[in-house]
Amino acid sequence: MVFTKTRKTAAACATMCAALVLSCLLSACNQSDANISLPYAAQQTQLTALVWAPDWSQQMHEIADAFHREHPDISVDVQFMIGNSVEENLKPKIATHNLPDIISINPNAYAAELADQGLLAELGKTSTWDDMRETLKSDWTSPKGRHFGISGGVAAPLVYYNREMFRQAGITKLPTNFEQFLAVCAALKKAGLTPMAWTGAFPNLLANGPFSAGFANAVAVRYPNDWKARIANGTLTLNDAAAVDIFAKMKRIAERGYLQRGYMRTGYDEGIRWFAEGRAAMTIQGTWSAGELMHGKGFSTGIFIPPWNAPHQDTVPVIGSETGFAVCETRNKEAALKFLAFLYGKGFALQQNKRQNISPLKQHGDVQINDPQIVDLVEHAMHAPLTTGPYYSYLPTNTIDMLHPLLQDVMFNKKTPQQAALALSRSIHNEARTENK
Amino acid sequence: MKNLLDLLSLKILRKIEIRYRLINSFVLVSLLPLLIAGVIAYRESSQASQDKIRIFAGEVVKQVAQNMLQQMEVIESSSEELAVSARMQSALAANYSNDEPQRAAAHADLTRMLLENYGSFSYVNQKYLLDRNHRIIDAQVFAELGNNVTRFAANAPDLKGRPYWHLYRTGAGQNNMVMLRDILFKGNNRLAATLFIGLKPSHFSRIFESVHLGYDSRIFVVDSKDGHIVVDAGADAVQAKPLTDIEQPETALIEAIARKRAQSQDDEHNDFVAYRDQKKQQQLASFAPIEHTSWLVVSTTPLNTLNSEVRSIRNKIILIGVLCFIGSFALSFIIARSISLPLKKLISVMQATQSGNYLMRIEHDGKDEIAVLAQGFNDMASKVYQHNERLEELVAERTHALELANQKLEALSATDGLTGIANRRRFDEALHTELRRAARSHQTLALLMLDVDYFKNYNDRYGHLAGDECLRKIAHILSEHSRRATDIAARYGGEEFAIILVDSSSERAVQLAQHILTSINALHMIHAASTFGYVTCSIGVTAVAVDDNTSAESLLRMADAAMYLAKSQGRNQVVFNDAGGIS
Repeated sequence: MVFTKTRKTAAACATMCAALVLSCLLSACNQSDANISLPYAAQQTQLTALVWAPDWSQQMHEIADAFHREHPDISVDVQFMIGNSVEENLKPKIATHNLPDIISINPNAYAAELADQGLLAELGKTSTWDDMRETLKSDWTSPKGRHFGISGGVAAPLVYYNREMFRQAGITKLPTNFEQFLAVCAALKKAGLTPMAWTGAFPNLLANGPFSAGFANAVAVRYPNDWKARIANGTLTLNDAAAVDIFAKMKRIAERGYLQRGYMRTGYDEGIRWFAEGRAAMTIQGTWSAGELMHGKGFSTGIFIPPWNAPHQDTVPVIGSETGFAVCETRNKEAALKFLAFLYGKGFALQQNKRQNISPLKQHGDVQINDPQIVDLVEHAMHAPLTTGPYYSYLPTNTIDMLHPLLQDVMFNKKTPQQAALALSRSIHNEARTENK
Repeated sequence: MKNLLDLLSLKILRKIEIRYRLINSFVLVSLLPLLIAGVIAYRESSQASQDKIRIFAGEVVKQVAQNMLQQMEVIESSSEELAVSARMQSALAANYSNDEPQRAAAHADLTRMLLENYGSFSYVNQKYLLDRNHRIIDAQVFAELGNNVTRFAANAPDLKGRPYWHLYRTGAGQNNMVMLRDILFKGNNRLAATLFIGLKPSHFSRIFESVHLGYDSRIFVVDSKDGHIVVDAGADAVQAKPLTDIEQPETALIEAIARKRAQSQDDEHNDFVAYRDQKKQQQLASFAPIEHTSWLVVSTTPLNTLNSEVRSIRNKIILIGVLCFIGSFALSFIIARSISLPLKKLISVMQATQSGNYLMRIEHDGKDEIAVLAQGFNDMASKVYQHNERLEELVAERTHALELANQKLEALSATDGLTGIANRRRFDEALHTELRRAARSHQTLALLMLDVDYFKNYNDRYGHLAGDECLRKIAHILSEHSRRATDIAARYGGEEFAIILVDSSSERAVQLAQHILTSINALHMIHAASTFGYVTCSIGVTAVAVDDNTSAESLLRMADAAMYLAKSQGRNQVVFNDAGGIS
């Protein structure tokens, strides 16, 4: 009797359970994954970075990639500048107010003006600004006191030389003035070597190297206290022998056959390879290219400050801020500031792997990837009585645009050094007038 | 049919208790319509949703494809103007000049033209002019960047001056929609350069990123050749995806579209396919081609999500159904209980009546058939009980009367009818009983035998009635002298009497006999025919320590002998006889 009763109760329960299970199965039908997540996050911030990174484009992508991994809600669209200067790439954007979020920028009057117009974000309160070398900060402070950019490094155009070739040519002493430098070139040529590799097709480097060295040792040395102010107010006189000599020295090196064949067709990358592959004994490049130049194929590299000085003068080193980064006043400014911090944090190590530049930061952290020769040389040069920055840091932007073809014209003998000096002088004067307007 | 119905309803179903029959019928009645309605509703609604998304998504992708084409044509048009401009033609001519200064100036001018035409647009990521060997005409470009662009251009098909659109992915995974356009010298129609314009995919995704079809639908542009996503509504995220996270090509989608296109060109739904994506989720896709490219604008909708609304409605139906089911189950349980519980009570009461308990009643206040049945049962039980009670009373009365009669009969059978004391039968029984008891307890038992002297003469002289009266008086004296509960006086027969004295010594027995004798004498019942002149008696006494060998007969003989000795010695005296002899 008890057994029968239990069985019947169980049957009733089974009926009820079956009914409920059927209902549940029906409700679960085609419901394998109701929580379909959207493939992409709705709140994505995409930064646009307009970058001058001809020699480290891949590293820049890697930095953007690493940043995105660390900040999945922010992605960085990298655009590379083209041509010969930062400014010619910035101008169309600025003029149409299509501001990227992050830009490469030079520490010059043009950038300072943009900062004072409120187009560039104030960086003075960022930790990156605090961490920047004190000697560089003045380059990145506008007349109105805005802190508009962070230097990409300590920039110094240097002569990189192949020690083996120098030994082969019997050169035992590094040149300390321009005459000695020419003698070294002559000795190398005499030894059947190509003394120097220049990048005539990329006048940016002609300006960074021979021009900047010439300007420092021929012009700045004459107005050690106010040469920058004279550029700004248009009173710098360049139609004299000293200024002409800037262009004349470049021309002289070329005319004496100290440069590689086709030097005016040689681009940036090719020029580096000329030296790194051991085809030329010297090249003038910035510290930012040390990564490739200091590790040439099968030879040891030495460096010295370009001795563009007269025999009776001390060499005036060209040393200053490298092209850096600024944040534009866009709606993505906060995200861009994060990216800026990353660029000089974890990102800096990525680019240093390639460039081995001298860090602009006081705290090097893990990014101290330098050749000790360069560090020593630059540290020593920084204590020189007089230094000047690279040309892009003091010439007006339109003068920079004018200078690039001007240098090529001089090298092509289309313009004489005198004509070039005069053109430069006029441009500076005109730009000062424009600035005043 | 009737047999089948009978088999089902009277044989099979009746093996199950009524309440379970009721509950199961309720369950079936409530659940079957629920299941059928749920399935039908789901199928119909699901099909309607699919039709809706096919129509809406189909129109949207067509419109998006049209808008994308227009935007691409804007880019193409501006590039055409640049390509045929005298300045571009002149600069490119100078680029191939043997005059190096001219070439250098041309390079600078070409860069300026690119910056003037594309430098201000935020959506233009890359802008290069490539020479006839597909090398970038820009002296600053390093090999690691330039070689990628060169390979891309070299792999492009010859479109005879038509722009070629394709996806370009940088080494770090940044996507660009690239328009390649050959620039031909107008003078000889020979290739002068190739314009490489890389555009942010987000520039195009904005066309449709605000289009939300719902149901987690996703709109994107895919290359029908390799299945790679070209533009996505989440293009910003896609662009920045690292190399390791590059999406797998939408191979399944492309294959499904290819099959669909191959099946029939005339099919009105040939722009709609169903496929399973990389996560094995079923997707519905509407697609529209972008003219002059291998790209397709595709809208995909997860079938699972599409049916979520339908499922929601269905689930609500089921919820209501389940609630109704639970309600009907509860109701059926209550109804079944309202039937089965009274029936069970009725059965248990009926079972109780089998043991004769007709006092149990079924308490039921209802008005249904069971209540009537219960009431009828109660009435019936009451009547049965009343009949039983009456019968039992009658039986009790009769039994009592019978008991009285028995008692009377029993008394009559142990009492002498004349004298009212124990009769001979009672005496014999008592003597045997007391003998056994005395033997067990080793007690002394005394027996007195009394005979009325000259009683025959008395009867003859005074009549039997007087004789009877005489006997009654003597019996009365005997009763008075045998007061102990264990003492038994009996009429032994005729004018003979006997007294059994339990646990009595010979002295006491003789003394008692003397008292009896004296008492009878004291009556002074005149007996003229006696030598004493009044009624006297002779008494024989015996008293023995009883053992197992002592018999009633021996005891009676001893007492009898003593009595006859008293007679022979002159009557009206007591004679004692024990084992030692008569005294």
